[in-house]
Amino acid sequence: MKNICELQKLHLHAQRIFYLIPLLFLYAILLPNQLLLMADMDETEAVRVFGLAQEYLLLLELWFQYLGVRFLLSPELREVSCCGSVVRKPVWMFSNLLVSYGAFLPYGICLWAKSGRYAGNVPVLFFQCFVMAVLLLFAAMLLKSPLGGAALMAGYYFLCMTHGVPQTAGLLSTGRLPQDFEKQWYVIQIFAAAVSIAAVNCMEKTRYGNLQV
Amino acid sequence: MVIEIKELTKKYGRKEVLRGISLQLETDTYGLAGPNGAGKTTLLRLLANVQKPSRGEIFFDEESMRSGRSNGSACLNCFVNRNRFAGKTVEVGYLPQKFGCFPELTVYEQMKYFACLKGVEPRKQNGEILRLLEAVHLEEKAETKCRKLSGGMVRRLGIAQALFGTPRLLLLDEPTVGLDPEERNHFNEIIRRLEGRLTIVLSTHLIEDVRNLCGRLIVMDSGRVLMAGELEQITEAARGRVYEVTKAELEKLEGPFLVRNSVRKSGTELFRVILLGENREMENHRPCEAEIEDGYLALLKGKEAMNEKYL
Repeated sequence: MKNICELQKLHLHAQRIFYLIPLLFLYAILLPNQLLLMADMDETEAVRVFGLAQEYLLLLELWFQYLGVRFLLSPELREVSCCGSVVRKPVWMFSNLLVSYGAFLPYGICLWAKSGRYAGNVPVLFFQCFVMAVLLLFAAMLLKSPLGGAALMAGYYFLCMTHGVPQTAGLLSTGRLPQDFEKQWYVIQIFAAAVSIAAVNCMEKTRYGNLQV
Repeated sequence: MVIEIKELTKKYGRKEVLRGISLQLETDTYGLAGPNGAGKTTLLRLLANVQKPSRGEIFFDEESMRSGRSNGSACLNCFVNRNRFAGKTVEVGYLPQKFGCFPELTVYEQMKYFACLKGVEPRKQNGEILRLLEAVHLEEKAETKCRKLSGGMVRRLGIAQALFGTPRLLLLDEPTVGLDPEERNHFNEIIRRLEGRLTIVLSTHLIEDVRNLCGRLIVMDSGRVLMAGELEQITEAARGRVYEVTKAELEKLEGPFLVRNSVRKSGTELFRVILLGENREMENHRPCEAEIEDGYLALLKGKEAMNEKYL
């Protein structure tokens, strides 16, 4: 665990600029505007604000997870980082998730404090970040390329955002209040995440991602 | 440490890259030579546990790398996602053919990255990194960004990372490719300092590296081991078959042979030829002293000569 922390410190230090710029946008531009909007919002506006927050946060999560996966699975270092490595990929993914939760938490709290009865959307948002993280790692390992995985997930993200997939199958559904999400939607999300983690574990054990292409 | 490779086979789809290789490696420096596609890199990857074999097993001190079972006894511990089995850690250092760094990291940070991956305790990392950087003469570059390193320095950094945790098996895949003579000397010096302490397997196209560094050579071709032995044994394959002949003599030469190179002696161009096939010798000529390159080529091309009339 200590090694994961050390590795995470290195990772954040090496790619700090890629983290700071989007976070600057989130806290300096997006959040103040949303807080202004929320001052006296009606339901339609609340849905719009949460929709926007979800879209941006999910995109940011996709980017942060890509940075994390790239750090561990970069093509130049893949072979050497697989020889005798004690760092397991799902564990690394969870540590990246914690980092992004840490980065998003103040934003989530601000939104929560202002949103009153729509506060339930904040945990839903964090849950979707988790699903995004798991799917990206799975896609990156499946394609044996962090960039390929991120591109695939970006494609899926835009399909979801433009309602190109049915809402129940759209794992990254946005613009809905928590009470509007059916049980079926949660079941599908959890199922997709569980299957992806199992597949990642399996690929790791069979050295699937270690092959050079 | 004794590493025993038994009937190791690796397939990519239908293509068989390694075909039932059996070898025994002891504490020594082994050269692994062969043409492109011989299976050298695949063999190293299997030894480094970066890939899994399709068939066959590798035993480290009689314990299987694949299943964790002792040679011939029941399986107790499964080999999991690291080079760890039967409660022990097999320290394997591996420098792959394509070794790169994160350009954004400094040399020290890059080493810290590897230390974290290999599970070196954080409190021991600093000392270990400095020791290894000193061993590969990169201590002065510790704060330099990796993007500013020369190709040779990157290779040395690769060796340093492979030496984390004092490995007992060091696998180097074409470590001297693209190095200038000075860098090559640095590399040779590093390897010589390690000799006798661990098993080193060095894959290379350059027989010069083998002569300089290795006690034994494994010659591979088409996924098979043609011969494995001490350098003298490899040289033996060409003994009595190497001749220096003039161009006129060369044109008259019959049977399968191989021209290794040509030299100019006293104004005459002489061709160094290796006669291939069964019981070959030249009349009215004294054979030259065979070298390791001659033995290597005789082994590689001798097999082909059985099928082809002339080379």
